Amino acid sequence: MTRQRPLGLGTHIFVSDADAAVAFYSEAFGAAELIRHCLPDGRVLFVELAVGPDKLLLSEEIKELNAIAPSTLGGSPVLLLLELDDVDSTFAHAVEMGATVEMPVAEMFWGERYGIVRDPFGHYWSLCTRREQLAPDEVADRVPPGPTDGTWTG
Amino acid sequence: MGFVDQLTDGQVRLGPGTLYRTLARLVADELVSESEDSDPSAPHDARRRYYQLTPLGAQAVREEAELLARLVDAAHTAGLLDGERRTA
Repeated sequence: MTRQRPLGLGTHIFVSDADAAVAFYSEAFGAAELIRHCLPDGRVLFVELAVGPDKLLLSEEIKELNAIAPSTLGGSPVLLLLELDDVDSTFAHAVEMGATVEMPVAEMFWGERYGIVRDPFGHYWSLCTRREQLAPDEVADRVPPGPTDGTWTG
Repeated sequence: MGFVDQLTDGQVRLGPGTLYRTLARLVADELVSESEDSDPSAPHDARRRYYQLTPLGAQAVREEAELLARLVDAAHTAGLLDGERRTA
């Protein structure tokens, strides 16, 4: 079998309350709802959101389909990346709306202004703004010794 | 959909799902708006919906077309189209 070059990669997340999540992602991250399908019992099978040029699929927790929300799992191992013109204003607004600061916005050695929040549904988002266009060698020269010695940010 | 198929010799397939998503996105971005006007020559269909460009959409589509035209012109100049080389 020949290896195919895929046509695209999307993200599909599970949340405990789809309506609240769509409202939050729309207001906090500029998402736009395009399509919604519900199960006959009213649970949201999926909502397709446009976020900038990309799409985010979102389903309500449906345990029979193994769609388990972070609140049930007790965490999430995934980080969603959102690039913005102005990371600070979106970060502050998301926090005002109920997101939790996981890592405050700071200038990072790879040339971005970058911070991480956990949204009210348990998903982690890194928000960033590109500041410098660095070659890989330049980034390598700036990598701090390690994330545990307090020099990782800034 | 048929128009796009014809224009691109089938290279761009605009299915109903893609068309719906595209229109929903254009509405969300305020580049088009749903219109009450209908086409009197079209057969009546209650499901048929009409959209019109907003002023912002008209500006965006003009700028996009101008950018594409400049890129195609550069491709012409570089001799990438039909082997012909134009002088700039």
